[in-house]
Amino acid sequence: MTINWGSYAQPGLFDEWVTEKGRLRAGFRQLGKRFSTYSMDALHDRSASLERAIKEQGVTFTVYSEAHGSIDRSWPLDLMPRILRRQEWLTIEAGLAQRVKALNCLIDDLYHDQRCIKDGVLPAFLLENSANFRPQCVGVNPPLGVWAHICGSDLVRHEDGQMYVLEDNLRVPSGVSYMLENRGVMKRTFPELFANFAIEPVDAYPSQLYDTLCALAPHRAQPEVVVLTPGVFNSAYFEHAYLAQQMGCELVEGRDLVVNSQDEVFMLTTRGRARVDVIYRRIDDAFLDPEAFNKDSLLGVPGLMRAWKAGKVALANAPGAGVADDKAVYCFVPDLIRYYLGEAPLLPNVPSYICARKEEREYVLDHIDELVVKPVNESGGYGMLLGPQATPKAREAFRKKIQRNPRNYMAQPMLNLSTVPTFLGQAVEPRHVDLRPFILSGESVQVTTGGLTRVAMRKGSLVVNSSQGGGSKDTWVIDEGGR
Amino acid sequence: MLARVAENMYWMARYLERAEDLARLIDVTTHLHLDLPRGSTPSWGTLLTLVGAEESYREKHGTAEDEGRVLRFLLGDKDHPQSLRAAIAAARSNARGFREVFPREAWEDINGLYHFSQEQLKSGLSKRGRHTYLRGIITRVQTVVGRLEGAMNRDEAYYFIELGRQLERADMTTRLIDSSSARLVPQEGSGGARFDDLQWMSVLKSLTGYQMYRLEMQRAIRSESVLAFLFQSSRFPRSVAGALLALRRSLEALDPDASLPRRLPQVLRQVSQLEPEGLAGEKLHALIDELQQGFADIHGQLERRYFRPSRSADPETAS
Repeated sequence: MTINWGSYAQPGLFDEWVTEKGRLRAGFRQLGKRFSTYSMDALHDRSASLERAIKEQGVTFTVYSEAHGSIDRSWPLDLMPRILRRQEWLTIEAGLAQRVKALNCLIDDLYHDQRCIKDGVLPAFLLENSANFRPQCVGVNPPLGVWAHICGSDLVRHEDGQMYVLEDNLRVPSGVSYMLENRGVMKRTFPELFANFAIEPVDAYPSQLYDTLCALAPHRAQPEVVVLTPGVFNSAYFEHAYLAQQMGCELVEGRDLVVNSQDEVFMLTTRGRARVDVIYRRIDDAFLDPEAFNKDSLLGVPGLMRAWKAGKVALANAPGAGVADDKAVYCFVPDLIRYYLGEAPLLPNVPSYICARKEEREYVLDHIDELVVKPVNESGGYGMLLGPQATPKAREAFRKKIQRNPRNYMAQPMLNLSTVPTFLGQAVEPRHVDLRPFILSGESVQVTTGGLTRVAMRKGSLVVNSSQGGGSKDTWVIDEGGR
Repeated sequence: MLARVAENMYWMARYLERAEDLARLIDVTTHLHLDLPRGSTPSWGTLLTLVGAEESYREKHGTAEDEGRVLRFLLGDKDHPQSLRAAIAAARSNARGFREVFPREAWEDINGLYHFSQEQLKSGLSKRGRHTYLRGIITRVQTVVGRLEGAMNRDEAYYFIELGRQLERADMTTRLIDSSSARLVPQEGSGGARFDDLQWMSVLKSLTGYQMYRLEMQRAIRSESVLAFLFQSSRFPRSVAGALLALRRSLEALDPDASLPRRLPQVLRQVSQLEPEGLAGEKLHALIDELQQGFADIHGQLERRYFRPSRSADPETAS
């Protein structure tokens, strides 16, 4: 038995490989046909060898449970790749670069003259109530004028076939290590496909990241770059260790660093102190420096903000960058692109309603059963209401929350995410996916080729988070025609 | 390298060595007890004294020192650091802190050791399963050690692991020697002398040193020659001198220009100059106490030099 694309298609879904009539889409024909030459048994064998490779490479993620504390689980990777046509990808890439440039302009503006507010592009109330605006950052000039050096934007494809930006993560976005590990595993699993199709490589990322970070160093020719982690029990520790290893940097914790009275940062080594120039920090602002933010934080480094403000050390991402990582600010990004860059946005936003605005709030309250309502400052899918699936009671409770604190919420129509063929042990079926590319900003802007595709493994589910049973796929940017 | 990471490596190695030596000690004691003359009661409490766990045991179980309870405590107790289980868990949690600079397979081996020690514990507590369990632990520790030996660059990381392993080994060997002064075998009744030999033999075997002793000393088991071998042999890797010399070599490789921690040459001299003739009982015990204090001092000196750089903002002015 092999994959039968004719019977694979399901009505009411937008599948990226196959039309509703069961025909492979243009740009997918050769690979699609290639996949249907494998028998189910052959796919099964490949899937088993893929899982072995994950285990051997030690690709894990951490989950918490009451009973066992934190446990390392094998990273879930699906056998079937997510494919993006190169032509479409070039537009997405340009759209992401444009977006992140505008976001960096916005952050810099918000901590300086706030022109965008004076010019009426961004309503003042958004800033007044922002949970991620850091008064400590006002007037600071980070190197190159860049605040968000590493951005992870989430993209989804709707049933109209168009890619939309769902959100921009400007604080400490994670997942890029899995994008890189997925590729390594897939190359071992399907060597013949990599030999015969023009699949674009992804492995430039660690050295691009390293170069981006080095370019931030104040003065020194051979800068010391370190990765700052909250520690081994953080759920993204695998990635912190992975990136440090790939870049050949030290992986430090807060307790490994000290700041002296000259505002210089040092790490404590077996040979005494060593000066640190650039910190790729994977800790939230609030835990960065107990002198400046959360006094009770044990994770942070006292004096780090002082050192950063004095320009003695570079922090990536810069403190306060999260001000633009706000789902209400998100709604204005297309306007901000026009305003700062004088360009038309290349990638659309998902249509959004800002609950802080009266008419939009009323629309949301009246149509809550059709909408997804999100708190503006949360990430990872926490605190959301999925209107169409919620009970009347839950909807009512959410209406009250919105009325109590409208600034804290925005809403979007429930998207019907596109699907991609996914291997389920006995069959290949469509499952919903999203995409997180990573964008580096320094002297230039670089976008990963593709990104991390996450997939909801349960039939009909839209939840792609790995902590909630989601899986992942390798993402292939491809120019069909073979090699 | 980072002081914190170096300290993690050092402690991981100490705990691994401790686990292995504990397993050896318990295994050999169990076998020795099977050879006791009928009518004499083996003293399991002595094991507690040897590993320095007497007090925490008393707090938990009082003075009843039966085999089942003592072994449950030494193999499976979670709360005191001298149990096999706690040592392995501590080795693993230290190893977690430096996965990025550690051979991946070694981390998997440590995980395997940890899961084995937990999952097979029940069988390890049974009389029949004990030997297999303890051999399983020893083999798994040896696998990790071999993996590191074969896969790690001879750089700082490697030498900090060596320091921990060798210092713990010197310490555990003195504890095993101490078992003869502590009298695992009660002396009442006839045959005391014969069982003295038996006991020395079991100490040697616990260090896999019986064959090596024969090869090196070429003589029958006699108290003073066993003591000379276990304290002073520079060829036997588990002798006190053997471990301390390896420690010295690692320190010299780590820091060729630095002076040795002051206490190391002193302790080495004390070991090479000790006179095994007539060394027994209280006198032996007192000597071992003194050596163990020396090991603790060496540890303190390593800690100050490598693991605890000053955290004050400006150490030059803070004095």
